[in-house]
Amino acid sequence: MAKDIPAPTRKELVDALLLKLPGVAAKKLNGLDAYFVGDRMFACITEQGIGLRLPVAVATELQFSNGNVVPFKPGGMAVSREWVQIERVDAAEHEKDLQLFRDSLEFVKTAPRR
Amino acid sequence: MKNSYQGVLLDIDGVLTVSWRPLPGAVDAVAQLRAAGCQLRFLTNTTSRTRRVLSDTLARAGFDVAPAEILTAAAATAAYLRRTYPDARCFLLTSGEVGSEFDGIELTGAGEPADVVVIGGAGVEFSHDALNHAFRLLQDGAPLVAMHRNFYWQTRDKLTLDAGAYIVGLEKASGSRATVIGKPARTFYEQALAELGVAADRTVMVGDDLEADVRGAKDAGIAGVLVRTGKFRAAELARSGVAPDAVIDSIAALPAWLGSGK
Repeated sequence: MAKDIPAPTRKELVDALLLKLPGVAAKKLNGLDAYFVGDRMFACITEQGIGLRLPVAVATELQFSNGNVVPFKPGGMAVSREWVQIERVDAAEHEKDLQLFRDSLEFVKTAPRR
Repeated sequence: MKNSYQGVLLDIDGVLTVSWRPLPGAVDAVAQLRAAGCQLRFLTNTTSRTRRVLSDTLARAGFDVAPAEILTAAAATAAYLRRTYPDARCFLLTSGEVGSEFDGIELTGAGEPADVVVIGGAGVEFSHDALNHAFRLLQDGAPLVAMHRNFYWQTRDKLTLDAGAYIVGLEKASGSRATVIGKPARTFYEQALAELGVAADRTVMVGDDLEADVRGAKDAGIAGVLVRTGKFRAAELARSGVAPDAVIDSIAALPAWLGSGK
């Protein structure tokens, strides 16, 4: 009799999407699963989805046009206007966010240090 | 385990800013720490600005920091005076405007009687007349309270002499011993931990001062990380005998240092 295969976790699904992008490394920060390019963090896994850093204009537009994109407020305090949370009940749907992950990676990699 | 650090204490001057200009990568690093859900407190021995003014000044430099997240030596000193010497007349010798932080405390000027001598940050106010008045009050038995005992700080292009030099002189001349309130005092770090609600062994302090930031934190059971910015000098690290838990190029490298490999 075949055993049930456990569903992949959000971490496993996001790892599969992000770790194949060039220069991306997974780290744990404050117990949180985070993704870095070089020494810069650009994404992290949250209970509801993914925290992602994007250019302010993109982050703002996404919040207007997508019901599942909200300001990223870990602990109730907004990080900055560049950080949003993409909420996905079904973590497998993060595949639809791949282009945003690429945009985030490129933005963080090339943004001047502030 | 580095990734178990939940609380992060950050020095401001020399770590986030120099002469109130942001250091490269500092704004982003603070945002990354917030994104990771780290509890932050900003600890400073700066004595010339209130927490509200500091918050506004940091906002102009690009940092989003609430006044309640800032712990200053001036505010902690005022709290100490209210608690320990209620109703005392205090001769306050400091440079800059601490304004509302000392609300409710009776402050006296040079030449006037006082019960407590309070020393803040050094500046042109540290004249011979003012220091001599402090000395005479100490000789008459007034206790000496210091916001900090830093010997110098980094301005845009030079190190500048701070109040620690004067405090040593007053102590030597009067036979008094200052009660130091700001960094590296253990009580200052304990107050920060109490505000964070995080245990010492899950907290890291990041600073550019080996004594005030690194040794002070370690004495309170907190990990101490030294940055190679601000007043950092390699020669001083070599001769200090203080062993930071890490030495990093700048705060920009902190999130990656805190993050362990997956």
